[in-house]
Amino acid sequence: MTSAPTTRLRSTESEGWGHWSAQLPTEGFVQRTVGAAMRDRDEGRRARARRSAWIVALSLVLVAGAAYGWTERWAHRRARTDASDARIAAPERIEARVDDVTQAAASAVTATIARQPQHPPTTVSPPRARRGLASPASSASSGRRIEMPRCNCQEWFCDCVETP
Amino acid sequence: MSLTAAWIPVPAARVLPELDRATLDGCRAGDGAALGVFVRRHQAMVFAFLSRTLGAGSHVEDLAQEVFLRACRALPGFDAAGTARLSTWLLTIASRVATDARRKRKLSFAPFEAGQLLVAPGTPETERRRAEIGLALARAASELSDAQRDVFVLAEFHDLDTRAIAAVLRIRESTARTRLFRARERLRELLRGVWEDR
Repeated sequence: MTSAPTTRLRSTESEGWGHWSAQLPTEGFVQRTVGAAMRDRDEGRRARARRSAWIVALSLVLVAGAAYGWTERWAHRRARTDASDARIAAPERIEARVDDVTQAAASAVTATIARQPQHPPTTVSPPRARRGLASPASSASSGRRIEMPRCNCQEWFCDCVETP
Repeated sequence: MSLTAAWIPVPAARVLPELDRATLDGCRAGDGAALGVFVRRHQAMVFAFLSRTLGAGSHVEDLAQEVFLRACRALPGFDAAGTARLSTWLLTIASRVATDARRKRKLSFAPFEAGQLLVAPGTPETERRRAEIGLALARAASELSDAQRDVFVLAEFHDLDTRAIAAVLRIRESTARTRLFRARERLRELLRGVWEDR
């Protein structure tokens, strides 16, 4: 029962779908479309030309920038090389100047010393003993210079700083 | 020219003869005459596809022009010696344009209205009946989803097999087959009265 209507339906369908109308192109569609396509083509060509010009300009700017940067770098490197060469040569000149300055300073000091008046040699007075803390030696030999032994040397031990 | 005049029922566009090599080269070079031949040869097919998948209206002409403009831009890349036929390739572009139009303009399928059918005075009853059937078919097709309608239109009106449909719509062949089966089933269900009346 189900297959018979389906077969009948299909056979009817095959001729029936043709009744579903489609919209037809309007008159002048071809001319309008061809005109639009030509304009689009020209516009595309102009857009490509503009894009190419931009790319060329951008490339030129990049190349010029790179060249400028390279030149600057090259000049900077050259300047640095010259400066380092100058630094290498500097010590001799500096030493020469230092010698000159040293000699001049030495002669100036000598002249200054020569110009100063001669003073008598100053006597150094021994420090006064504190009141109430007089040592037995100081009380026993006041006014005399006490020579303290600098070394305590024995046969097997010596605490001398200097050689006896 | 009135809109109704464009709605004369016409037989579905069948397999078109391909463009010859010289015309195709002329189109690629931007020759106006060759482009005219190209557009004239395929305009009915593009209009038929767009009007059946998107519905009637002035937008169909705009979209058809968009299809040909895109085709003209892409023609240098079309391999005439390849497996794809020019008409199938053009239908691929048309389906993309239709998809874009649905997405951007939020177009919904608008079937023909009774006033849009041209029935000349004195038309025999059979012609009137044919027009009514066509209207019923369009209304039934409007009940399908966009994806099912695209597959159905390509299969029924442009003689594409499921492999070609899959290539045109960029879907899997099994998906195309399923959509076609479901679309036919749905239309049979919707048009049961129409078919049985005949």
